[in-house]
Amino acid sequence: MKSRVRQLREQFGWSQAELAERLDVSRQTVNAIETEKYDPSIKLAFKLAHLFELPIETIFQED
Amino acid sequence: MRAPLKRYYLRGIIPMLLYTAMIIASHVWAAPVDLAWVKAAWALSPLLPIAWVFHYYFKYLAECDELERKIEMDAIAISAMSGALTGMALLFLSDHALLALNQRELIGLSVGAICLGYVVTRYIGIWRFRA
Repeated sequence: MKSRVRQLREQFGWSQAELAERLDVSRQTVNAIETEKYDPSIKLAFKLAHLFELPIETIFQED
Repeated sequence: MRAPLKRYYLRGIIPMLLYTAMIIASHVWAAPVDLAWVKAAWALSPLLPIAWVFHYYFKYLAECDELERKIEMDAIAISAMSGALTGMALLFLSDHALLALNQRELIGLSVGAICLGYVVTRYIGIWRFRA
């Protein structure tokens, strides 16, 4: 799954550690989502969408 | 190290020290009373602190995030499979008289394969998703 999390995080001026703290996950998880090594659960995808104030489908897209 | 893992390691110190003490005690001293059930309880007593550690492990699984949980679950599944495969392989080799192992060795090797499978798979998981 393609992810725009890195781009959006940088737009918001947050570090991976800051985003991880806001999501209550590890920095390893944020990094894995950004590098597309790991697809987040629906729950985490909703948290990201809420944080970036965007619909999920604009953050994640099918390959 | 994230807080849930740190908490799990810290919580595990006392049960692991207790386990070490109990395993030494159960091997050095004989059961205090010469009754079968007392002997069995004495022999199995080191399992109690291990069960205590497992209880903390379940708490850790509930507290960690979804990727950490995935790494742990993958490690548990692969270690269980490697233990089963090792056990079956040793049984088949014994059945065909290619290996002469007693029960203790057979179970010890299977449990060893489970533990080794868990450690190796967990660290591969951490390495694969490293930040």
